Amino acid sequence: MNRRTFLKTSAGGAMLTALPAGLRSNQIPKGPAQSCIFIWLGGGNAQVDTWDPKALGDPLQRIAGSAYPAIDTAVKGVQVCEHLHQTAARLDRMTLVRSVHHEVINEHAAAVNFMHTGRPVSGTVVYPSIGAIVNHELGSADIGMPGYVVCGPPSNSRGAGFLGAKYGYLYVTDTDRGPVGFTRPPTVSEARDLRRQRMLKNMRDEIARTVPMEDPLLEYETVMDTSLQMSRGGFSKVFQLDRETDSLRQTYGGEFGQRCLLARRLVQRGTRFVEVLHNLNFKNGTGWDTHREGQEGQHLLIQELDTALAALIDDLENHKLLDSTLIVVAGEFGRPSSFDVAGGRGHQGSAFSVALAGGGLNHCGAYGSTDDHSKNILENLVSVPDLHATIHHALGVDYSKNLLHGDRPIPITDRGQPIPDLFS
Amino acid sequence: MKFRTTVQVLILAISLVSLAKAAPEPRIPQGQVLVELFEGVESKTEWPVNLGEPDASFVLPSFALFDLPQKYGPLGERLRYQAPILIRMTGKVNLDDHAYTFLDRTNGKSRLWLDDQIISQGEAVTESPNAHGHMRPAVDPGLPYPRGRLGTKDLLTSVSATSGAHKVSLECLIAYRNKSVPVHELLVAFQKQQSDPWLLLSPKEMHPTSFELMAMSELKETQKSSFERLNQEQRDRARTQLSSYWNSRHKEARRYINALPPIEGKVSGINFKAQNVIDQLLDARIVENNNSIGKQSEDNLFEEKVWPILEEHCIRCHGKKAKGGLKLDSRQAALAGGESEFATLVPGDAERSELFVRITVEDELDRMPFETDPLTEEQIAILENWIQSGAKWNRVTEFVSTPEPLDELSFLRRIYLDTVGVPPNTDEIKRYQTDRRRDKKSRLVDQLLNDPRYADHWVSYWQDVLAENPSLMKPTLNHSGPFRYWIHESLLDNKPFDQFVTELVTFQGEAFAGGAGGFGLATDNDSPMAEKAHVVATAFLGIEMKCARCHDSPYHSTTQKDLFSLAAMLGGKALQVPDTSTVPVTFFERLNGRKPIIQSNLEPDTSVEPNWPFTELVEHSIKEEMAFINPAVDLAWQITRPQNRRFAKVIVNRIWKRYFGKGFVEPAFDWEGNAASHPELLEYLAREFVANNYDLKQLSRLILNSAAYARTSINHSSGDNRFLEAPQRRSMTAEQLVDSLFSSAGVPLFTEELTLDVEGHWDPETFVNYGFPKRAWEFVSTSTERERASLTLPMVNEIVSLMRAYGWRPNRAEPITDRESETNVMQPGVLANSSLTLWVTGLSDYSELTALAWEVDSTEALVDQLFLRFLTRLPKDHEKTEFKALLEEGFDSRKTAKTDGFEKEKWIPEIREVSWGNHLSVEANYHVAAKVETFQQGPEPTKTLEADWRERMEDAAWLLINTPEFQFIP
Repeated sequence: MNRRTFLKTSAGGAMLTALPAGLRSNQIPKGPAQSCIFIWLGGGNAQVDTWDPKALGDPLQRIAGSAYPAIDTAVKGVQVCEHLHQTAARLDRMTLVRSVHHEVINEHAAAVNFMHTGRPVSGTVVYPSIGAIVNHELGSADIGMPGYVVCGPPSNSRGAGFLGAKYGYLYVTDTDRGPVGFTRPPTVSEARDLRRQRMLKNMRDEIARTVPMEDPLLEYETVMDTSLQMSRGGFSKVFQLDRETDSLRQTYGGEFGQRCLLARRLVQRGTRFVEVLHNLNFKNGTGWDTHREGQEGQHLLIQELDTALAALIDDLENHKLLDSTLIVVAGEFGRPSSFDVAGGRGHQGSAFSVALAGGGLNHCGAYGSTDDHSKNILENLVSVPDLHATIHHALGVDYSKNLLHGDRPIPITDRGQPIPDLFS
Repeated sequence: MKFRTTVQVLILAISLVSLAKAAPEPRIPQGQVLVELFEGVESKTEWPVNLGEPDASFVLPSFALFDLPQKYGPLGERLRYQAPILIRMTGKVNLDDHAYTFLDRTNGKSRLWLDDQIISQGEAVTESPNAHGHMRPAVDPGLPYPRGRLGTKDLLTSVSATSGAHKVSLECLIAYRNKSVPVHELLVAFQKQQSDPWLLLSPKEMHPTSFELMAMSELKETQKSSFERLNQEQRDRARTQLSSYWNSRHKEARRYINALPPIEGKVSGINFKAQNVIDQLLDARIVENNNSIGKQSEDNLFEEKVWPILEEHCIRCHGKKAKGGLKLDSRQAALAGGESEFATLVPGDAERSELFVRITVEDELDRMPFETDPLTEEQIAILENWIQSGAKWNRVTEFVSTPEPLDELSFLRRIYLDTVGVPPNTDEIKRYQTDRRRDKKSRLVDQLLNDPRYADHWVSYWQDVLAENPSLMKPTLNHSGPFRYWIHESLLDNKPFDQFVTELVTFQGEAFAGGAGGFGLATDNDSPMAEKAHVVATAFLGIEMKCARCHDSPYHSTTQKDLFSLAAMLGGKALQVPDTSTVPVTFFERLNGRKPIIQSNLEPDTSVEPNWPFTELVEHSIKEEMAFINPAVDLAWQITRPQNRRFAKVIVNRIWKRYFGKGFVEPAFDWEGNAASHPELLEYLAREFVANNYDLKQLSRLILNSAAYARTSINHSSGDNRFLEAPQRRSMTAEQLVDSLFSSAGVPLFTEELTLDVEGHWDPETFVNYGFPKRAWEFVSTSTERERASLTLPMVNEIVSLMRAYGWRPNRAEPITDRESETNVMQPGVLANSSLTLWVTGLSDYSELTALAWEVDSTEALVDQLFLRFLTRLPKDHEKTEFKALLEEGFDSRKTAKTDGFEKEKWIPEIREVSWGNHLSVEANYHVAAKVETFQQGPEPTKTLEADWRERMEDAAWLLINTPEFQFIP
């Protein structure tokens, strides 16, 4: 067979090519998830005080170990911190990945960046965050909804990098008010807004009539309509949390809980990736970055997380969304079991925990393990690219594909592999 | 219009006292305060014994210092004062026979002298800067003078004075690290009796300055502009020092250009000595094009359907490059085929055409386009049909007409936005419209190019192109230093561009003092110099080496070694290729024997010597007469020497593109394989640029005076058929938009101080202080990756959010020439609904719109003024009717008071109580959250206008910024 015939035959599909067909496809079956809620414990939660409890220590005496006793969970042999008792009861729908590892320098921004992009800051490329990649790959399930939302202040590490701004996030800092740009300012009444829009319409119509067809101004005109529709239509209603029952809202707890509730409303309407930031610093000053005195109020944060996470799991389940929504709970690194001079904890990236819930995964309560002080990983090391590959795979995104930066193909993760046990 | 001014502020007279003066006891100038600065004194904690000569000294009208003049080195490079710093302020003041209370405010160890006695002394504020500090107690509402900022301390002293002249001296030892802000507030104030107002101590007896908010704010502004003048003088002096060197270089360059053969090209009959060479050359191409019409067929299939597919999917590899020996940029080339044994194109027989076979083959290893999604069925059908019907290669020529000249007002709006970045104000419009001189247009061009706002407008372009990427705190994410200040000064000084490049690539000035040294940083990058070499090559040579970082470029002729040779020149020594900048071996293994599109070139850890890789860019093969020992200096020379014909053309193309929206060569950062649309014009302008000392303003002058620049804008989407007969229709950049919003409304742009270290506890390597931005280019991303409520800067955030929506990049690690221009839903959203819009359109006591509302005597005049302000035109009849209808009701009774009585001080930024040092306290988070809440309510409305009418006037302003017309340049 000459090459021409070979090509023609394979083009007709009548015979298999000589090359292995499975070369680029995934061996592990993809997950069924449609969207991801990424809960961010900014500052880096101490795994020994949350997901990976060890023998008790004492902050005041500076004896290394967990700060709180551990309790049993719905999964036999897996324990968590006592302040996570609601989550503990739901652990059968979760997997605590206790063996996550990275080697990023001891600085928040660099670690936050690495956890979101899965790559070191280097070379000539600004890498996209995991949320932007998912948005790029899957897009919003509803064109009237943003594909990627961050409940928190704007941040460079959560950006779209080389994928371009349109795959970036829309951010919300105030759950009552909705995103900047789509809600009327509190001082402008509805009547006044309508009056403005009516007059503006006249001006817009006039200018649209007078400019030539190919004027870029007309494109902006269209976008103005979409924007207006969004601020008045279903999109803005997503932010009206008071449409939920009071009892449900109360189940979720405080401001962080309301953010989680908002996340559910967003994914329900088609948003693919919602990152919910849990570090408002109102509870203990330091948030999860529990240096020094920050440790004293840490249990308040853990309880707040517990309440909101348990409510989110139940609420998604009640809406039949838990299997299609992957929940990831992560921070930029973990913390050592030892205490600093003022009874707080420093940073530790060499071993820490990330919790996964829902998403139709084959959950096993816990995956990977660490030594007595959660300092070294004993089995099943999971790199950040592996974690990203797991998220992609759960969402049905090809974790081995290339993204294009102009001419240049860039692998979607830095050689990450999904955790095989979670897929069956 | 007159605003009530509570205090007459002394005009600051400031000048450098000669440094040659040597006297331990300085002569104090009559009626002034002498400020002396001693750097690097012997102790951080003890008063130095031997002071010697001051390192800098200048005079002030009173005992109040808020900042320092910039420190420059002998070449005009920006430097930092070295800690510990001692500052001494001395003046002779007249006191009465009376008891006084003195207040001295400092941010270091201090002592206050009266004659030869120390009357007050104290240690530096030593609040720990480790972020776990506490907020200070709330200010006593009865405090009779403004509170000092965080990090300062006030000392009060009672003194019984005798009548007559006394020498007063305040010394402050600033020891804490190398502070980013050495001075905050260094002042002495006094009160004579309990009931008297507090005044600043001053040697002048007339017009004492009140120690109160408004007067201090105005004094700060005056002092700031005095320092700017002083800085300018220092730079001028340095430039004079260097002038003989640069003059001789420029003379040589001119000689070289003059000796070149005359410009030749397809067009003839051009008079290169005439004023309008630009227009002659542009018109010649249009005429040539139009003459060729009628010599072609009617068949548009190729142009409309086929070529777009080839252009998008094939030309990258088979056109600009010749992958597999095949080019598809002409029919001839396509018929000639490539290295393959099969014919690429067999007209009339798609099945036998390799082009068709390869786009339809199922096996993705053989399928084209390579490594991407296959063509759609529709595209395949188009190509098949085209080949079957004979593969005709008809590019269509369309008639090109030259658009009409813009009307005067639209032209004015365009040229203001293009040069100073904001539209003209109503005075500027009036002045131009009433100017009857024949040459008023060229006078306007000169005037605008000499306007200091020209520098403000252009900084952001070079921030993008040179990837200026500083951070608010702890630079770790590929951050550079804040070399924006050096760019700004270079533009203000109209520094010859060859000198600009030389200073940049030799990293002149300290990285964190805003000098070009900041360009040398790329924090946490595995090879900062490789990163910078990439920037330099795209910015100045039009060579894109993005791919060459890790391997030879697949779509360009550059190699990885080229990039690292250039990087080694920048770094001044041989450079090792880091492991992380190579292609991992596993990459090739995974290809299973397929020929990779890339080939790894350099092994990890290869050492690459400094070497100029682009010898083909430099004319003449003779080895140069000039030799530089420092490879970075050699690099500067190789880029900027007149024999490097590429450099001048790349710069000309960039400047042209900024004014016209399209360049002669596209993309402007990547010239390989991209021919110029107007080679003769590019050549002409490049020669002019070099022969005129690489003067950017002169180049701008040529372009802005052309007839083409003044024509109605066009919208050509095609990249190929560029006639450049007029500027493209462009929308404002993010910076133009922000600056125009504030300037059109006449609201001062004020935000929080752009820093997270209010006390100045930290060194600038950790926290940069960007001061109080006045123009959009001065902003920086507020992202700290920490999401702590207490670190929020509400007003800064609001501006940065708007800019992000409009294409400004919070992360500029990559150099770019063209920002993303796609419109998005956030844009109209933020303009319609953001707090920024409330802030700009709100009729507060400090808004010029409020003053305008007071001034006008009819709605007719008001509507005219509003349209001129915001849109640089008068309203059309129907617009006038609508706006008048909006504002008519209640117009006559709009004023609620007899006199305006504005409380202008409302705009003065509040003292910040939360800083890095105390931001981890719970109360700090609540404090800032409350600030955000207040800010979102918008500015406090003026009480001088009736509320309902005021709201309608605000609506008018809202309409004028929300109409799409506002943001599109005519």
